[in-house]
Formats: sequence, C-alpha cells, structure tokens
Amino acid sequence: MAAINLLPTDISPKGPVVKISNLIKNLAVISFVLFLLTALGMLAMFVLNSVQIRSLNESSEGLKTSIKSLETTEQGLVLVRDRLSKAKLVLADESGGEEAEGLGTVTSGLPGSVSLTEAVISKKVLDTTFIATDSQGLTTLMALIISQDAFDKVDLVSFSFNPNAGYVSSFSMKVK
Amino acid sequence: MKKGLFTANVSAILIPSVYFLVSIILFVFGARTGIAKISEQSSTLNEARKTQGVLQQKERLLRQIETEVSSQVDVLANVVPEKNPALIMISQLKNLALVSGVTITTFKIGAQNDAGMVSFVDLSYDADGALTSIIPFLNTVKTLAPISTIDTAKINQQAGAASANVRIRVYFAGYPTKLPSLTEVVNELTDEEEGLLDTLSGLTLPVFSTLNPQEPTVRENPFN
Repeated sequence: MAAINLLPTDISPKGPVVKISNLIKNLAVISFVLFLLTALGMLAMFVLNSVQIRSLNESSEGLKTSIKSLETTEQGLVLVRDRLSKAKLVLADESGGEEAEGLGTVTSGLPGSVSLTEAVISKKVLDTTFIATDSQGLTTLMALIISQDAFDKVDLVSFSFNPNAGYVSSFSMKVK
Repeated sequence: MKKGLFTANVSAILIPSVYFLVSIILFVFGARTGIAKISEQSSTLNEARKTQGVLQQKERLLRQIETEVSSQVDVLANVVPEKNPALIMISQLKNLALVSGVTITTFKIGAQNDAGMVSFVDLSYDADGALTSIIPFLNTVKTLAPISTIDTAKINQQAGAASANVRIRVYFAGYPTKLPSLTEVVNELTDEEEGLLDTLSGLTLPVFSTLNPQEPTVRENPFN
C-alpha cells in the first residue's frame, strides 16, 4: 500500500535540515542508550559490591567472635612479648656478671702457691689482690691474667713483697 | 507560507536537540554520581577485605600458638614478675646456696625503684664458704629466675675460708593493661624474641608449694 502524505509539502522541512535533524535524533538515541547502558552497568557493579561487602562483613563478624573466644591466648601473647621486651632491657643493663665470670676463670687457673685475698666486683671493673708465695707462682699469675681475652685492660695497681706472706699484687681489670 | 517553513525547520532541529541535550546531561550527571558512589564503595570493599585479611591472620596465629603460649607465660611471669620479687629471690638464693656448699648469713632488702620502665629492688646478702664454691655460686645466680644482675660483690679470703658481701638487683614490672585493637595486626615472635625466650626458658624457676585447705577438726580438750 502506498504511503500518503497529508501535510502540505511546502511547509515540511527539506534538504540539509532533514539530514541535520536525523543526525541529532540519532545522536540523542545513541547517547540515551549509552546512558542506560552505563546506568545499568553501574547499578550491577553497585549491587555486586554491596553483596561482597555484606559477605565480608558477615565473615569478619564471625572471625571477631572467634578471636574473642581466643582472648586468653591473645592476652598471653601480649604478656609474653611485654616480658621479653622488659627482659631485653634488663639484659642490656650494665652488670657485674662478666666480671664475676672473669674472676672465676682467673681463680680456677691459679697455681697452689697463689691465692686470692680480695676481690671487688662492680660494673665494668674487677679489682683483685693476690698473694704469691714464690716467684714462679707470681709468673704464672701474671701470664694467666694477661692471657684472659675477657679483659680489655689490666692495670697493675700495686705490687709489694713481704718476706712473711710473699708477693702481694693488686690488679684492676676492665671487661670488654 | 515562508513563516510556516521556518517554524518547521526550527522544530525539526530544536526538538531532537533538546532530547540530545537531556540525554547528555543525564549521562554526565549519572556517570559522575555513579562513579563517585562506586569509588566510595570500592574503598569500603578494600577496607573490608583488608580487615578480613588481618582478622584471618590473627585468628590463625592465635589458634596456632594456643597450646604453647600458656607455658611461655608461666616461664616469663617468673622471669620478670609483676610484683616485688625480693622474697622469691631470697628463697631461690637459699636453695642454690644449699646445693653449692655456701652459707648465707644475712639478707637485706633495699627500697624498690620504680623510676624506669622496669622496676628493681636491691638485695644484699653475706655468704661464707670456700672460694671455689663462692665464685661459682655468684656465677650461677644469673641462671635463677627472677632475672637479676650483680651490682657489687666484695670477696675476702683468709686461711682458706672466704666470705662475700654481694648486692644484686632483682627486676620486676607491672603487667600490660590493654589489649591491642581487635583489628590490629598481630605478628608471631621474631627470631630474636624466640632466641631470648629460649635463653630465659633455661633459667631455674622458683618452686611454689600449694597448701590445700583442710576440713576443720574437733580440738581435743587439753585439760583431760
């Protein structure tokens, strides 16, 4: 069936106006379709993210409950870490422990003719006084003290000879 | 007639242009709002993922150490006790002296010092015995819990008998009062901490005896 145009042909738009009008119409349709697609895409993403967030939050709540049930263990871990840090501070503190060890090493190697009469242990310094009844013992004592790696510095503070007691020598030793 | 043609031409351009403009405005407005919302939601999602990761790691670690942590607490709570450990240390020294062949004659407890992060109390004692016993005794004190350091020691020896006046410093510290936040990362002990824990686990712990409650008994009449 043939199309019939009932409008007067002289007032309908013609030529380039129709083309521009069609172009704008097409652009309007395309942009509207794009808008719809974008809106749908975003809506889908929004819904998907919302579902994921809800799922993660539910899972996190479960984990929080589980962690709360392990609170005693967590308290223990916090306490262990705290005690270790405190012990580390104490061990870093100066002590006469190394001096006592050094004194132990020296006295364990003394010959029978040498005896310790006095020792004062303080932080970083060990003061000692020995009596050697013969010169051989004195030599051994000197060699023993010098051979100790634990001491950074050894000062011979005093040295005397008493015919009744023997050689009396005092040392001041500093631990490394 | 010309006016009618002009109006028709304008209408033919204007009406689709309005549609086009409205579509563009909708597109721009919708896209801007949508992107802002989705971006905000994405950051929430990332935050939720991060929180879940932290919680999973924390739960796994706590389950993993659940069995061993109580024994570690037992050791470390004795190594660095919560309260002044002077009396515990005296007991430890007496026990050690007994097996070392050293006699401790006097004990003196000084005032406690709470100035630093770790508090301490000075404990002085006099010990008698052979020099070969006293020096190893001094060196063994550091293997006792609570943790202590030698402050000063004066040793004298005459006619084969030695005596020592020793001052040691015994340490203690209050327990932590706060737990970290639930969503805060908790890490396992570092190698350094593990090493220190091993060393401290080798210390001799004090032995506590527990007195069990007894049922009341009928007192016998002492005048019968």
